[in-house]
Amino acid sequence: MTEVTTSVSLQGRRRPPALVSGLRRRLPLLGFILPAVVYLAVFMGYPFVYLVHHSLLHENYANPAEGSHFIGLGNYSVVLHSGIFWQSVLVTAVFAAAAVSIELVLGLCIALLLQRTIAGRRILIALFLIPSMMMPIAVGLMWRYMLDDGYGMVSYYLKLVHILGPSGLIAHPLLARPWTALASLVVTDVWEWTPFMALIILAGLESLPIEPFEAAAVDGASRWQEFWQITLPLLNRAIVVALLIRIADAMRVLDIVFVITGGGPGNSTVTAQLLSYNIGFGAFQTGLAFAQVLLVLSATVVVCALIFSRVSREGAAA
Amino acid sequence: MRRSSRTLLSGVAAVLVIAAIVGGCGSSSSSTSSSSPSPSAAKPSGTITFLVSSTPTVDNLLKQIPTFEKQTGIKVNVANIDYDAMTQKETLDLRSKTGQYDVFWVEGTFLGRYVGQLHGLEPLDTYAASQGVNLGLSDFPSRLIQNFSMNGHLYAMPFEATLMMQAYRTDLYTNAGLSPATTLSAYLANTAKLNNPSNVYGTEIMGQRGEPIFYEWLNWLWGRGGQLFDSAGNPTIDSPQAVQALQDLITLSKSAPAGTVNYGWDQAATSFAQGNVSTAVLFSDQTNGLLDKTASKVVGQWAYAPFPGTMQTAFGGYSWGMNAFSKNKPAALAFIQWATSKQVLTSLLPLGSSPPRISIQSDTALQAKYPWLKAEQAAAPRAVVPTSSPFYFQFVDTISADMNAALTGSMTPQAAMADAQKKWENIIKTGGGL
Repeated sequence: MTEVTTSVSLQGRRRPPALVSGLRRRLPLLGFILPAVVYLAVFMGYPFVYLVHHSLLHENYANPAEGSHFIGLGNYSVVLHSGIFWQSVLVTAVFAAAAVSIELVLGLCIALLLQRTIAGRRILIALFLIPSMMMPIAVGLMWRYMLDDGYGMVSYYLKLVHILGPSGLIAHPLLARPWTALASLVVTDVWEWTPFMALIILAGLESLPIEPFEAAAVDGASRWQEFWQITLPLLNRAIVVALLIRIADAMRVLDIVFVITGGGPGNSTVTAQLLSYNIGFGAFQTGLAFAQVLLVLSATVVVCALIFSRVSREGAAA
Repeated sequence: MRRSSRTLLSGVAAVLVIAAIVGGCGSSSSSTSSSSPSPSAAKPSGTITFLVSSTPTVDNLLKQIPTFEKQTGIKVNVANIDYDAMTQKETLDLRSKTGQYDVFWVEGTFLGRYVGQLHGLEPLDTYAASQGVNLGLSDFPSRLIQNFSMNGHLYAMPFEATLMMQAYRTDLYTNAGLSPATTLSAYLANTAKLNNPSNVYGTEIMGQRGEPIFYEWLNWLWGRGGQLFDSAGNPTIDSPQAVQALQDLITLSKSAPAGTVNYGWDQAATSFAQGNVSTAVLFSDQTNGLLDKTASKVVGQWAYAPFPGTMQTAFGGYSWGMNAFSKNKPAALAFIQWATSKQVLTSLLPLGSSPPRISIQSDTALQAKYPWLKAEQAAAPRAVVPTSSPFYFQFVDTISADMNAALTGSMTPQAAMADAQKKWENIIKTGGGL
């Protein structure tokens, strides 16, 4: 009897639904993340929605008479059918791939050197980081003058060793031909951002566990085997972080291109961001510019996601 | 003439120049000699705000603003910023009709946008008349007045007559027994004859993508008898004259330093000032650099002559316009009168400015002191704004890329101009699209 009563009593006290109880448990946690959510909504969500919205409008900010009206995917269609857009995407991709690859290799080498205990290491690291701390515009101006054919230091020394000049390997000024102009931009970017890459990899190197290296030493592994089979796999995460940051950054390069080549010669160094800038702030075709920005942003996100997922899979498999 | 390359430097250093507030309440009358407000007009007062982008002439003007403030009691807020940033801020201001900037330092090529599209500049002639102010327009070459006019109204007062002048080395020309060219063929011949790369190049061109190569080409286009558009407004930039003009630039580049394909106006002027070339077409607002003994190796060894031929030449000058949405138009007009007055324009001459007033250009005493004035007086009546189309930016961006590609050998002149023609037609067809 008592048991029955107890049973009935339990049935009478209805349990709260799982959702409500889950919310109750998580409410304090939600409170903690709410500021971040609000921040993201205001400072990232709203601009992004604004961007998407305006990319669907025909809008010329310099000409109110044209009005602003919804044209669906019309801007995207114009951009995707434009030759200069695809050329700018190609230029951006080549630039990003070349610059980031070189920065990765050089950054890794420099990080390995800096990992060793050498005199004045801290001062050396601080000095080494100066290029990455400079304003990109200042870097662009500095390199523009150094690359100048008439009085630039880089051109002068290249002429001195007969790499540049009428009888040299490169017969024309560095910024006067498409490939040498693009290569000059890559060199500038490498100069500026290799220290950043090295810094992240150095941080990764210094956080590696010592045990695998001790075990390798006991097993008689060579320095090369140690680097290739222990250091590099363990550095995976740090390299991915550095790569993602640099790829995203290189895909939106504008400053140095604007200053050094202005997109020339011809359209050979017009990057996607320079094209967006010209469409948006030169021609004030804001709808077109927003559509182009979103297309490039999507491509950047896809590239970064692919790299991330591939490396994550490899990391999990290891 | 936009200044994306050179003014980026000033953009980096973007200096906000807030003029000193001078409290004195001077006379309300203008310092101009040719215009005066009517006695019945309200005394201008309050504050005006505007943007400029650094040039030697405008920088020198800014130094005199305390004098204006003292004379009028009007407070001036001015920011000296990068040229592109300036035009973008002005465009946004006009679009939003907030009247944040009272006065605009403006080029003729921007009238299409500022007047034609945004209806943002006040017709100065009408407004001045309503205030009983005589602008003294008879002291300006009619051509320059037309450069800042649209639909029969003057929208900005000429301030600096930036002309494209034939700059030549007097010592080299004298030694070679040459005179500055008066025809295009003579110009080509002179530059070829004086080309001695081991010592001095025959010439140079502003080959940089963007406005430099467009302006450089335009003189040759007009000189060859071509036009940008036909009478119906259709582009004609694939005409034989247009192709020939581009070919002329390619010919000139053979007698020029290799880096000429990347020269903007500042690099071209620097190269001339360093004594690297015998002849060049330079914008007259670069005169300052040729006069500077600390930077120029050709001081006293150069002179200007008008661009060869009798056809029109490209004009890149600046003017002062008034925001139609300004909340202080009387003070804005007072500033424009002051900045374009004979007294102020004459005071800017020692730094190599190009005053647009006839009374200054033709003053024999001033001509003796500032020898470039006489050549500029002869050149000014031919100086024409390339186009006031609202698509000016797109036009220049597309055609200059093709011309620069032809200059570097990536395209033939015919292919370059045919491609540019297609792009211009598309720009017009799509209302400024890609």
